[in-house]
Amino acid sequence: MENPPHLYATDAGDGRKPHGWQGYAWALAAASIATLLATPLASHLDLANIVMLYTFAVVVIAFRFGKGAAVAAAVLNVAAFDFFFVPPQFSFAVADAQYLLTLTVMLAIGLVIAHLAARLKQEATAATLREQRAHDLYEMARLLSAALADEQINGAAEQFFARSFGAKVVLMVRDHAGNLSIPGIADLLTIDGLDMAVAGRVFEDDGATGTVVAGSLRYVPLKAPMRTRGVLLVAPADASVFEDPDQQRQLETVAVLIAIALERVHFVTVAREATVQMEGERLRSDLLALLSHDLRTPLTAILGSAESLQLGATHLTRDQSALIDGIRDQARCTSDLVENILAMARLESGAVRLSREWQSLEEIIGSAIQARASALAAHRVEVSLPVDLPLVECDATLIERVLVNLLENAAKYTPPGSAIYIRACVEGNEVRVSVADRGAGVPRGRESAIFGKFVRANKSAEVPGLGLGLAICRTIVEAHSGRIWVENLPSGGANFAFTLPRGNPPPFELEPPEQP
Amino acid sequence: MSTVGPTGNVLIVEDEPEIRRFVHHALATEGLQVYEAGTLQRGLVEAGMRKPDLVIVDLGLPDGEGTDLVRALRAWTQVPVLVLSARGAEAQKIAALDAGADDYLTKPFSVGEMLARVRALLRRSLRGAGQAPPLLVLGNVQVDLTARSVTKHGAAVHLTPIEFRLLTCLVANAGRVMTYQHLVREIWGPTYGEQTHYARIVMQHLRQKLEDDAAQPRFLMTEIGIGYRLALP
Repeated sequence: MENPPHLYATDAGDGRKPHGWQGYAWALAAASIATLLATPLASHLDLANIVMLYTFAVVVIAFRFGKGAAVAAAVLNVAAFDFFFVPPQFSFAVADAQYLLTLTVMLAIGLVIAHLAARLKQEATAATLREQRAHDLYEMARLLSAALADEQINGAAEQFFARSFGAKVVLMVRDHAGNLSIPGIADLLTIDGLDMAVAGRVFEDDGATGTVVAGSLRYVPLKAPMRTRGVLLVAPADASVFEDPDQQRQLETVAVLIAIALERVHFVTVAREATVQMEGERLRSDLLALLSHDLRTPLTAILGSAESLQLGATHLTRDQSALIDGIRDQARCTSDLVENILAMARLESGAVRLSREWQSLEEIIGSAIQARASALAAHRVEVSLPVDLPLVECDATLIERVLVNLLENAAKYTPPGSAIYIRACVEGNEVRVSVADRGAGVPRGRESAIFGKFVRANKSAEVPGLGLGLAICRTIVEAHSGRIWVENLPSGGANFAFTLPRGNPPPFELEPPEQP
Repeated sequence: MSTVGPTGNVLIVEDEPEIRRFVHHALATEGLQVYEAGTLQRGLVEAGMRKPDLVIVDLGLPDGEGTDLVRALRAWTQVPVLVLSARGAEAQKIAALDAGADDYLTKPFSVGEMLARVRALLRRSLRGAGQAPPLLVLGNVQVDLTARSVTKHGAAVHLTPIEFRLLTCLVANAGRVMTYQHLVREIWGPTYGEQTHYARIVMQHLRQKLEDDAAQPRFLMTEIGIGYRLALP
């Protein structure tokens, strides 16, 4: 008969009768009541006044139940008046012709009242609807402006569309990678005919195509000032809801509101992440600087004090001298550990910028051997480099550190008196450097694991270390676009090798422009 | 043990009292007179007052950069300057050396190493800075700058003019750390300051001719990331 009373019914829809058949029943009842009231009064009143009573009944029905019931009441009242009061009574016949005019005017008034009342009611309903929708829109705008996360925006949109349009919505948002996020499985199941390809197209077009209608579904691009933030899928229960231009305008407006809210949330997130990252980096570099200073200074003092104590001291017993040696050795060991930890922390924090220059590997190798001369005192180091080894573009201090760590490992893990071989050669586009020893080699299957952080091949107590040396080597070599690996030699011992890109060495003028 | 004699005066400018104390002790056992300063300002005052034969400067002072102190000293004195700096601060070291410092030590340093540097710098200052000895013996190598001849095991070694100039430059500043930039500017001219690989290529040749093992040099030493030093035996 009639649609159920939806808030989202169109304003233009007419003939709505909120009470259905009840209106007609009440129309019949009104006619009966008017007749019953008029009957005892008929002997005292003019018929004209009884007409007023009937007319009043029509007005009441019209305002209460709308047009249909009012028309029925008007017709029934005219019939009842004619039947019960117009002579001859209890007949529809009319004796006096003037009553024909009375009856006609009475019917006309009834119908006019019915029409006016119905329109008034309809406009009142429409006004209520508009107010409700404005309120919903306002409510959503309030929720959107308070939203700090995409989920809250989604909630506001769902609430608004359910209330104002009886529609389900799915909010698909641009994710961090710039792609359209896929809705959850619950949304996919509840919405028939959802086509992600269409949504993707609307998104890719950057809103150029505008809203795409597919079946009963609408894919609305969420276009914000900076870029399209996502796609709003609207699935109304009644597809005709959006046929009205007013409703369409409202849909577009809401889409813009949502898009702006999404953009705002996006930039809030970006700003927050940037702040957190900045804070983190500052904290880390502050901490590193503090640690560097506060650890190195006392270690320098301990080491120096222990060594100074032995200078020119002739009265020390053998035990006292050994104790001082212990302090010195432990301080030196701790200092090496601290340097490794700081180096790793610096490399990982990205605070280290490679200062690449065209370097001589021979020089770096020589410097590394010299830097660890005391640790290598018990070993024989043999270096064999080709005479025509080209210069390599690298950060000399960092590559020296790689070699120092490799040499230190070799000295630590191989028996005293054994030899360490350093070799270098050009291989294709790379220069390969290797440090080979005559030790026990690396445990089988651990060849790549030992380059991890805090990993030690041999966790014996007598060899101190944290397992950072090789991790530092790997980080440095990889920062130079090189590779580092280890293999066990068939003749025994481990062979650590790393590569550096060969590059194109710059030109060189052997002689200065003018002689002195 | 004392090779310098008790006449040497050393000023140490360092804000950490513990480090000052052991450096003081070590230098005193060498028979040197030691003065201390904890700040840059105090260091300048002490340097003016004591007229030291050597200044040891920590690069991180509470009231300024040690490099500024070196620069201020160089305005009126050629006293040898040894700077102390943290590991990884190559740019800081180069700045200090360019400002006129003679040598550097990276913390933590060994006392033996420090004393060796101090002795070398004091010897140099006694001999007169910049005055290259006419005849220099470096192990089995002899360098005669006036005759422009170099011999190894008594046999003449042929050096190209540019190799000879690099060697001369290092010999004239024996014991000092010479930055790559400084050497390249000195030999090739001021416009070549950034072409630091020039120095490395020539040094490679020089080492192959003079050192027994070019990869493990005994006197043509590398200060990685900084430059070269001619180590006197």
